[in-house]
Amino acid sequence: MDRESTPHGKVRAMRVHLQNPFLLLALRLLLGLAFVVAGADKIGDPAAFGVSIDNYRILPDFLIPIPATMLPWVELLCGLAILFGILTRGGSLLVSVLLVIFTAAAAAAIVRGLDISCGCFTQDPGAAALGWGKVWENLGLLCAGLILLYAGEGSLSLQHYLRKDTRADSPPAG
Amino acid sequence: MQTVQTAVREALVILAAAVLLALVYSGITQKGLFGRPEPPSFSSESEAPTTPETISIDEAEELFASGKAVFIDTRDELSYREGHIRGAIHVSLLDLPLRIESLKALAAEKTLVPYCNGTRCHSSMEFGGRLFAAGIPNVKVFFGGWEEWTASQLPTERSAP
Repeated sequence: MDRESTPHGKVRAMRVHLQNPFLLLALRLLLGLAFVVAGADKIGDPAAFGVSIDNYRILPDFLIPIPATMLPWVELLCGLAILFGILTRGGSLLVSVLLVIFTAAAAAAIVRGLDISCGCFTQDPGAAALGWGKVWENLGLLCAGLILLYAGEGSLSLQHYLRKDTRADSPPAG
Repeated sequence: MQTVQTAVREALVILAAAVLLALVYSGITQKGLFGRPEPPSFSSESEAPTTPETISIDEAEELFASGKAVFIDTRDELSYREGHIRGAIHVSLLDLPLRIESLKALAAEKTLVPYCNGTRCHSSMEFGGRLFAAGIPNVKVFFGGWEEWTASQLPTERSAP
């Protein structure tokens, strides 16, 4: 984790690019909005989301109400955290873990030939069928999540301003 | 190392908040985890006249042996292809509106017996209810479904992929 210890100049240059506040803001908007929208859509109707989860045929029936109830809230809070840049690393970590699970589930469903819709942003059973596009989409979001996990929220974030405030308010040490 | 610790700590904060909110929300709205879907009743006395009769595994076996019934698999298509009650046809809830006329014709000669996975699934009840509502009285829901049927080792078959 020590940034200065790498002998490789190119790697260091890339790390500097990854710290670009505008890049981090753009990634946060993308990832944050995606998860806020995904979470908000599902929160009101856990039963419908439960059907979507059931369609993947991964979990036994009696476990399904747990993710159907919890997952939308996790998605919403992670999305908000990333969007506003508060607890960004934590949100990015959770989102990245979720995306790995979602991607594996989607790939497994496609490989097994399940003809289901994603249940990602809408629970409408008439929505387009799950396909490899969704896997790529998820991997793209995962990249954004991992960059944010590594680089943090950047300076264009609420956390940055809060931190500045507390630093200004706190009495000088010593 | 500190970054990782921060990330994990923050993740736990978000997770805890999300779980708390989900539990509170579910408790207040009675949806999801704390939801109470009405358990379908097995006794025919307590049933409203708008819902079809449910039958036990014994009655289902009798109907199967008599050949006077058509079993309707209301599960997803993959499950159907992997195995279903011998002679059953596959009609999902989504397909029902398209098939209702042909099912009506079928019901003139035979009893329609929708079934799904078992007691934890509701699509057979829903299916039977919709058939009933569409004016097909000759419907008996086999609520024990695929689980009871296979547990009793009654005849099944697979579809060619």
